[in-house]
Amino acid sequence: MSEREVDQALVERAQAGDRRAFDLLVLKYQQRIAALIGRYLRDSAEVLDVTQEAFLKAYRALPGFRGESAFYTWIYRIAINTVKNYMVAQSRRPPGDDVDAELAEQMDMGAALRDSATPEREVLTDEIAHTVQAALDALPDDLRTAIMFREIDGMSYEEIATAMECPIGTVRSRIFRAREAIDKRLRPLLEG
Amino acid sequence: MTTSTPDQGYLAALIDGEPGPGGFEVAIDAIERDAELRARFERGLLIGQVLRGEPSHPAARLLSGRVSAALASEPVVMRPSVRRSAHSRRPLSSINRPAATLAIAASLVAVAILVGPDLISGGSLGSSPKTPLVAQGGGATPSPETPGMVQANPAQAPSLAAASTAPLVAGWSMEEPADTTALDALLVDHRERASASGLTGFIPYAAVVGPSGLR
Repeated sequence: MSEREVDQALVERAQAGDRRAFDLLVLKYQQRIAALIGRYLRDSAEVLDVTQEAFLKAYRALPGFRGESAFYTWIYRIAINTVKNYMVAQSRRPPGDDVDAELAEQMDMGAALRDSATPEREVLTDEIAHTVQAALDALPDDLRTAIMFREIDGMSYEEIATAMECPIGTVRSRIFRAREAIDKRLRPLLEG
Repeated sequence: MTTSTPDQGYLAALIDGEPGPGGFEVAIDAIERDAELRARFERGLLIGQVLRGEPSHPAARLLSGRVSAALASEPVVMRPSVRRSAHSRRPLSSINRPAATLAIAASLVAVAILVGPDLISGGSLGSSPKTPLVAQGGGATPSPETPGMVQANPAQAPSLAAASTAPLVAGWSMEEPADTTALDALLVDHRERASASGLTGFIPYAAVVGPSGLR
């Protein structure tokens, strides 16, 4: 099941009236959409407000979403329009022509856009990155290999099982334990 | 260690699109219900983003709660076409079987009432024509058995085809002595049959009184 298929299943649930399915879509994409909007706006409070507005617009428009594009591509466009409208309303000049949503998706989330991260945000982001990297380095080889195959190389469980010469159940367990170990270090940082 | 726990399956399904034996729908249900599992799902996604070097926004973790609270005052979205398609997948027979059965039975009864007497009377009189009947004037020859009707002449097929759109039955002509005689006989016949069958109204009359070519 591809990421797009997972999203489509959640979208169909949300379209049938299951709000918690939409909550899962928000959980899944809140970081990426906020990071996208953070390229336009410096103030974190504004970023959260506009990101929230983008998700609310997406929810209201959800009955019209037919799955012809990936959910992420669709909400990416909504987010771009929302932040541009917000900047016009604030009498600020929005960036000119935007990169195409699907192209941006392939090119590191629209790297053509200006990154307006604040120093505080950069510090926290760096801290998260260092924590995750340190936890990854501390993992046993089999766990580290499995999580890297999955997250960095995008391999399926079956492909990882073939590469690591082990059953799929073992792959599932290794990836789960790797995430648990990293999460154990990350959680205090995020909740502190 | 290869023992799989339910949580492993749920997170693998949602984060990696690799549902375990429980399936994807079960995983969604579980994560929707369990706040702790949802938090682990969220951090699991963040770990993946960080490992891939994708940008993130630390404060965005507050968003899901804010969006959820804002949606609480919104009407629930529903996609009408999805609901219609769900209905359209139901087999026709399961929608309203008694009504469908009743409609079919009523149709059969109506056909029997309209067609049955014609078949019965036609069979008893033995006057069912073997050749196609057409209106006069198409180059066909009058039939001595059916006043006002003609029998098709195979040698004149083109003109017969042209006449096929004309009315099949010519009406009774009261100026024709043969018609008058035949009609009188039919009316008498009708009175006898109507009293014997107990049927009244138009249907028995139409079945008995009419040009013999139709019976």
